[in-house]
Amino acid sequence: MKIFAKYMSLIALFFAFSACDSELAIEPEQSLSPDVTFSNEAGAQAALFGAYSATQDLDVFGGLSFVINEYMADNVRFVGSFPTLQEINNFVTIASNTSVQAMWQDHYYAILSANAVIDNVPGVVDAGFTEAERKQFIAEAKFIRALTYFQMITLWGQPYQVNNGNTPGVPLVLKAGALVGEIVKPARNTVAEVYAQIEKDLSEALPDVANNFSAADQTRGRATKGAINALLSRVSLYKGDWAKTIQYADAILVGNNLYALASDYTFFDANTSEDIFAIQMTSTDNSRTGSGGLGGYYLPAARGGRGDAPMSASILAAYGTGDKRLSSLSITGTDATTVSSTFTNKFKDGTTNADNAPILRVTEILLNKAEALVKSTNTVNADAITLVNRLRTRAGLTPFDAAQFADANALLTAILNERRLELAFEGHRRMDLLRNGLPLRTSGATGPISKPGDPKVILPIPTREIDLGAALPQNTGY
Amino acid sequence: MKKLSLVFVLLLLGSAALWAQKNITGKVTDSNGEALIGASILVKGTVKGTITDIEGSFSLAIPEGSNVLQISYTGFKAQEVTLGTETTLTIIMETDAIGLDETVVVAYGTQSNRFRVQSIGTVTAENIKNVPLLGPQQLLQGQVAGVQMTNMSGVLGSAAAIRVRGPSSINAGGNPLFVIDGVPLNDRDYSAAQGAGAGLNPLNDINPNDIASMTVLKDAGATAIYGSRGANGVILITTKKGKAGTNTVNFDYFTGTSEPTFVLEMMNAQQYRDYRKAYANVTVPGEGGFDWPSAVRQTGRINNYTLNLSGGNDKTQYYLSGSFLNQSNYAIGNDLDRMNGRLNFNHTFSDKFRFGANIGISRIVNDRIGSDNNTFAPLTSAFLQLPTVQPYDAAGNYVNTGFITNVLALEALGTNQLVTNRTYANTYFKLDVLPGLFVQSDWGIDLVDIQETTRQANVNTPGGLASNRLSDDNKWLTTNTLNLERQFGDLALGAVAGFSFETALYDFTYVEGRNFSSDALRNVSSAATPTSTQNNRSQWALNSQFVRTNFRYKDRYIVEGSVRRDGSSRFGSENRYGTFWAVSGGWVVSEEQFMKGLGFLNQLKLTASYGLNGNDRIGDFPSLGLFGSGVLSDYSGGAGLRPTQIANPDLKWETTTQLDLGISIAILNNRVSLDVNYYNKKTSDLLLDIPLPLLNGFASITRNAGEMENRGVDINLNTVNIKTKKFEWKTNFNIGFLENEVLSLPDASKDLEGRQFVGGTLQRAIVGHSINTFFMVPYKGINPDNGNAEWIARDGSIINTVNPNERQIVGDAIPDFTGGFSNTFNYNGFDFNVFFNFTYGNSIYLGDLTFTENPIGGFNYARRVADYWTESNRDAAFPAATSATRNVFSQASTLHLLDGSFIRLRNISLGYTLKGSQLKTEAFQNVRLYVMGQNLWTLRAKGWEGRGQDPEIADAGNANLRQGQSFFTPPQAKMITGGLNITF
Repeated sequence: MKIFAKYMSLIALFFAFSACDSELAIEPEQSLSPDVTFSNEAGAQAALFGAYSATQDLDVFGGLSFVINEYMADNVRFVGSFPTLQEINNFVTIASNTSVQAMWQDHYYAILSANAVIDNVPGVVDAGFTEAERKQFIAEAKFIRALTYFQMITLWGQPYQVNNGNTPGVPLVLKAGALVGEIVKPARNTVAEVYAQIEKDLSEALPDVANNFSAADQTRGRATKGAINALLSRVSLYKGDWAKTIQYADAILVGNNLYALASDYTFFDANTSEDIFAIQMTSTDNSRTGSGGLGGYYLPAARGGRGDAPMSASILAAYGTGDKRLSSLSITGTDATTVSSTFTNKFKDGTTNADNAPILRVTEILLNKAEALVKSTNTVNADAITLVNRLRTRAGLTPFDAAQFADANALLTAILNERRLELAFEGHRRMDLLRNGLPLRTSGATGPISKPGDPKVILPIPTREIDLGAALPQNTGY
Repeated sequence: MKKLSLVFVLLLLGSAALWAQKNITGKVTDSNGEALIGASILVKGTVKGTITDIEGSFSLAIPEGSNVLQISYTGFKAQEVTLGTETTLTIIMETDAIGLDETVVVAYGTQSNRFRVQSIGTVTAENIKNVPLLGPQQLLQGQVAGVQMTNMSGVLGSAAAIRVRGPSSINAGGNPLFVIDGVPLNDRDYSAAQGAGAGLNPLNDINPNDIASMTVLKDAGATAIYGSRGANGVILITTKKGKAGTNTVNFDYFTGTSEPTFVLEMMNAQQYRDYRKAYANVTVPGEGGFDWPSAVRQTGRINNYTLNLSGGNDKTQYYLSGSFLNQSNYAIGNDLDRMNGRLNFNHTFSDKFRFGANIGISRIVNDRIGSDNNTFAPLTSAFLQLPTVQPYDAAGNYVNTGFITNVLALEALGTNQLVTNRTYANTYFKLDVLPGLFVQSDWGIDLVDIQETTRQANVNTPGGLASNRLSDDNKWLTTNTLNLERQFGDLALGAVAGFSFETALYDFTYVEGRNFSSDALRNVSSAATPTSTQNNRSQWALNSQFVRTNFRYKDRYIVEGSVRRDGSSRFGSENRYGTFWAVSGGWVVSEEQFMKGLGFLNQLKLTASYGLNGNDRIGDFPSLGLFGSGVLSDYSGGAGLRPTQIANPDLKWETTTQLDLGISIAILNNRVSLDVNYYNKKTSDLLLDIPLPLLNGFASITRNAGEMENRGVDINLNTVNIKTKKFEWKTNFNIGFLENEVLSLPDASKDLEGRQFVGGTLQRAIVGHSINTFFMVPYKGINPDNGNAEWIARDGSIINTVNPNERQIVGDAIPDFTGGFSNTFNYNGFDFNVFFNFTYGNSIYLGDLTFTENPIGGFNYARRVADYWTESNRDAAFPAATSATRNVFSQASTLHLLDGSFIRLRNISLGYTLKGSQLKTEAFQNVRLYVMGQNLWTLRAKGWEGRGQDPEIADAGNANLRQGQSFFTPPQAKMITGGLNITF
């Protein structure tokens, strides 16, 4: 079989030439491994910015949570066409609601991104990366985590006032375990436990963050001492700790020349001294990831928005005549059902959703303090009236006079009304009602089921989480 | 280049061998003694061959060591003649009605149907010569048992979901591998998704008239040699070659019109106003209305021109073709122009050396429209838009209509264009090395260049928007094989062994800008606000070795084995290589002595195969942990990084093993042939996106976990019912039965009944059930007593809400069987063809019904929504205006799940052929005039009338976990064409 040998040797020769292994080692060109990301200070800072970036998402602070908080209450007449959003509006939400699921997921993604910084910054081997800088990055990430959990606990948990926080909250995930393959299925923490974690994160972060940065968009757009004090003031107010509310508010209002009450209403999206913390948006941020944004939801079609969220008759009546907060911050246009309506003009970009998301600003802190003063003293508090009158004057209205108010409750009602008119469409209204024991709506079929403690004033735990065996008891009523 | 040097080594070896030769002359005729011109004669196992001349004669030098000639001619049975001592031959060819002795294309070679042990399906030019085709995928629909092809939608250029013997993966890609003239095609989703699943048809760029044959490789015996890419089946496309001896020119033209098969019935303005007043007590402002659904429709036009020239001499053969297709759809704004050119040539350089090339180039200009879940899609928005909304103001200018955009303005003022330029080419060199042994070297490319341009006018997107998207995917590969074919006494030995290297670099650029001072400024650089600047590159490479050997003893017993070892850049260094293999056996029972007495039996063959394949379609870097950068990660001007992928260093190949048992029978002088194959295809180590609780920050992690099985039977029956000199009637019937079952999903979550599953809220893969199981709350109906809508809970009780805890298994999206039935009649120059295809037993979820049939929705309503419950209309389809159930009526339930079975008259055609000789002219050889209808008749299951459109849909394209779902998916076109075909 000489010929056979010839065939075989030829075949053997043929294959001897075919190995080519080195050409299979191909690396991605647009991404980095976690190790490279956290190999120096620049990478660590980029990861911190990545965590801020995650909060820009439509479902986190990019607009949807603001809109939901407004239309579940009485400031917005929601005419949007999305069935999942209309379910929430009609208080018939089911647990498989995909908008709710997206919000849940994107909040936890922001938390994961923040956790990645908290977990990995201590291990970065970079001689030029100082201890102070490391502490600052970690502190900023803790602020992001606290802010995100705080929005979650207001959306998925009953207000602290219901059973003193001893109600189901959201699960606390404090490690970026998923990045190293550690998948967790934690149980729900109570509302009180989540509040405690938020306060812990913020207190730990306060000494380590910067007071301000050289650029205005960083001073107003990153975690600073002002931002942490302001958030602590709100957390304390929501919890009912009046002394701390006032203490943290004073850190902003007294002797701090970084912050000042604006003299008119041109401060939106401007990074002025009115802003304490605003999530910075550009035309390339949220517009690319979300199917909407602040301008997208609130503006009429002619301005590039969807016309989904015109002002309600209730808030138009509350403004009355001569209120600059209406006249200088509203426009008319047609809504999504082609009805001519009044829209807020606080957010101006309906096409690329580039408006900064105002999270913490001086007006709110001033209102926090005024409310806490009345509640803590249970009197017609003169200091509170003085504070609120700064807002009344700015709005072109006559200042309050102490004699107008029969008792502390009457003043409190007036302060809450000013709070509504000042902060309308910025996502405060729902919680301002619920934490004060008030129903979200006083008229219509849904009025009677919109009280604090009613099942559908908060959102359901997404069905998917329960399907996947996470030990998450569903909110009552879902 | 190591490979190149190898080729030279082989060349040297080859030329060193010298053999004695002998000369043979002969003549090839049909059974009536008529000379056959251009019949091909090949010395078996060599590249040496020739073609008969005008007298049917040939002359050939036979190298020593070779003693078998292969003679083939289209329409006749191929023959092998073993040479004795004679030097003059007369070869009489028998007509071949059913292709028993046809040579069919298989992976890296060809085989005779008679001795084939692989399970394949073929479509040849002969099958399709009278069918004007718009795209090659049409060749697969209802033509091959076990191949399910579902057009994604009726949008021009849209892709199709193609499944060979069911879905064999969950999260890895599901389409088969397409190989054209030896070049595996690039098949990423290049185009931007515009509401429906991303993806245009990867075969769009091929002129269907250039196709000589399509082979679907189905069992492991056929696909294992494609290794890590064979699990979904492989489709081999071979283009036409020139034939020596005759130079022919063929011109074809057809023209026609198209309409949608079905259209939704929506309310007009008056009906809408009446309904809103009556049901919701809302007085709709304004007067008059506008018929949006009609305004976005038109009569589609199609014109197609094809010219090809082919021929050559015994040294060189050529095939040159060009075609131009100009098509407009039944929807406004959707047009497609396609230009194709092809040059195939072969040249015999010497007795031992041949080479050739197959070069195809194409350009497609596609005016796109969005579809499905997209408010900028004409065929979605026209149904959602309120009929009281006007597209124009009093002055006749377009107006902004809000969230549901003014699609008339969009199409009139905007641009949405996709231009594809593509070149695929393969050159080959064949060299005889030893008797029966030749070496072949192939070098191929597939260059895809796609440019997408969009522009939305100020009236649609305030400020205006423009974008430009460039995708380049450049592949090159080389395949080098040794091919052996020799007869040693009673033993016939065939083998192919080779190696290949293949790599592709994908480069993607996207720019977008908004805010223009004028609609007349069309491009991104005129925008005031640049909103996107992206450029990405991604590369992969595959390095492979493979062998297939085939032994045949006494033409009765056949054993075949194949092995391929693939190394892929897509897997981590620990699992980079995978080895795939198959063995097959066949017994040609009819060749046994004891069967020889059965005169009616022409062939009885039993086959069996078993083997395994892989699937590498999981993206380019699935195993790495990644932090992504760019504008989605930046913050306030600072560069950012954020987690985008969880690391899976242990990720490895998904493997699909397949058992195939077949029987093949031909009887009654080959007038009836039947092929039946049973298969059991089992995928293990599934590449599975294990869903994670979202509180981990990621929705899923890819792991190798779980098993899935596809079992089924493919039946193909060809009959020649009547055959006389003037009249012939042929029938093909094929049917594929399929049962898909998920066997295990170890890490997946459990539903309330304890079953493990992955997937979404409506459709999921459930252990013990299909991968595409629908999981919903069953809808019962409207209670005639009180007008409440009622659903059924798991315990059988009646409920008035759509509680997700009450979801049940209610059907699946995979048909029980699909198939086709075609009849061809030829009489005295007339040809008549009727072709049906059918699908049975699948469910389809129509997501659009949650909008059109939402009694309190904010959009327009289906006309039948007016059939709501009142005291005087108790047998109603919709809840009473006073019922609380109206608020939840539109939440997904089986109310929106329909039976997807259908039978469709896919094609009917009538033609008449006039031969030049009949008119005693030599001006032309023959002329064929034809008329044809496509999709003229469709029978849908109950429940579609007035609610749904076309049951042939796949809104997410190829996504394995989302089949049989629709969201206003545009229906198929109903088309009537007439044409003319002249051969000179």
